[in-house]
Amino acid sequence: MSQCPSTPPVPSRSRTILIVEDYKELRNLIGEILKEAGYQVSEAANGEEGLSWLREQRADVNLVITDLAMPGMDGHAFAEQIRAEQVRQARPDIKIVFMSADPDPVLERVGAWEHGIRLLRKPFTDEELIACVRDALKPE
Amino acid sequence: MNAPAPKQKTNLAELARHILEAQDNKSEKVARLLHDDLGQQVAAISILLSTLKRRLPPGDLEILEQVERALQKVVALGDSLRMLSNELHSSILEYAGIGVALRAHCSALSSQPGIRIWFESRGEFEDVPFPVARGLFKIAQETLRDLTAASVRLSHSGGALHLAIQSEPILSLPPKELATLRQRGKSIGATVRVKASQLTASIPRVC
Repeated sequence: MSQCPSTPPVPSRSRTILIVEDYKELRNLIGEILKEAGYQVSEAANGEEGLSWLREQRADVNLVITDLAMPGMDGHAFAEQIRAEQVRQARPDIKIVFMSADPDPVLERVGAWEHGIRLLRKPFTDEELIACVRDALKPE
Repeated sequence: MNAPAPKQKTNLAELARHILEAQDNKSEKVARLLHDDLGQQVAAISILLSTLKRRLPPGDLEILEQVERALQKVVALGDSLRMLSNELHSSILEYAGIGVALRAHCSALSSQPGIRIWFESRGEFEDVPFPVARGLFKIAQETLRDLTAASVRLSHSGGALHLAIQSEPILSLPPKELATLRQRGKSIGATVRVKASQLTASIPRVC
């Protein structure tokens, strides 16, 4: 798992981002900032809701930002489901960003199975959020 | 006063075990509240302040500086909440086991000025049952609380789990605290011994 660096802005308008976070106020705030930055944003309160939304969605989703600790399906299980859906439906790659306030050893355990997942450490600023999203969406 | 009869002794030990368990469950609930609820609120305030900072008119340096200070305070509050939450209930212990959790705890203590806690471990700890790991972790946590220099050794070999804490200067635990540590040890099948500057907690067979 790589930490989100402070990258210079990369233009990335008309990209769709799904925010999955059980704490509504935080979810709305993140949504507002990303909309203001020009992204199409959808929100879900947990992994199950996020997965339903992804299954119904016709347009491609470019990025999922998900909290790691959530009641029901947590961020880790949700990310695994996204990967499985991608393979089954031959959908384009969906980038994933985890949000967490957990200490490093817990994050290492969670991130060990997956490469390329970025981490946004809580608490973060709006600038760190935008930098992380731009970094995740930049062409490889 | 007469010494308690064997049956009374067993009842008292059982009661003590229940009290410790209730305390641990309560601590775990408070830790989750700190991490999940208050931590989320701190995260929201951090975003709000950083957005406010970005929207301030560029010329007003005094207000900008105050918002920046408030932002730094919020980040520090987030760190304190995390530390407190971890003190009450280690999420590392839950996810990564006692070896990793104890190493992280010693390292966190050593990051404070004037404190140096060495840690070494031998063996694998992933199959240690959580209640045993939690009990042993609490014994270490409570013993290390006021120490400024100590070495912690944890080993798991042939089914036996052994914790040794060697302190400098001599370990002086108040009798009540020592009784609690022994009771905690007993609740997980560990024998707790204190001799001069060393505390040991040993479980002959972890199942």
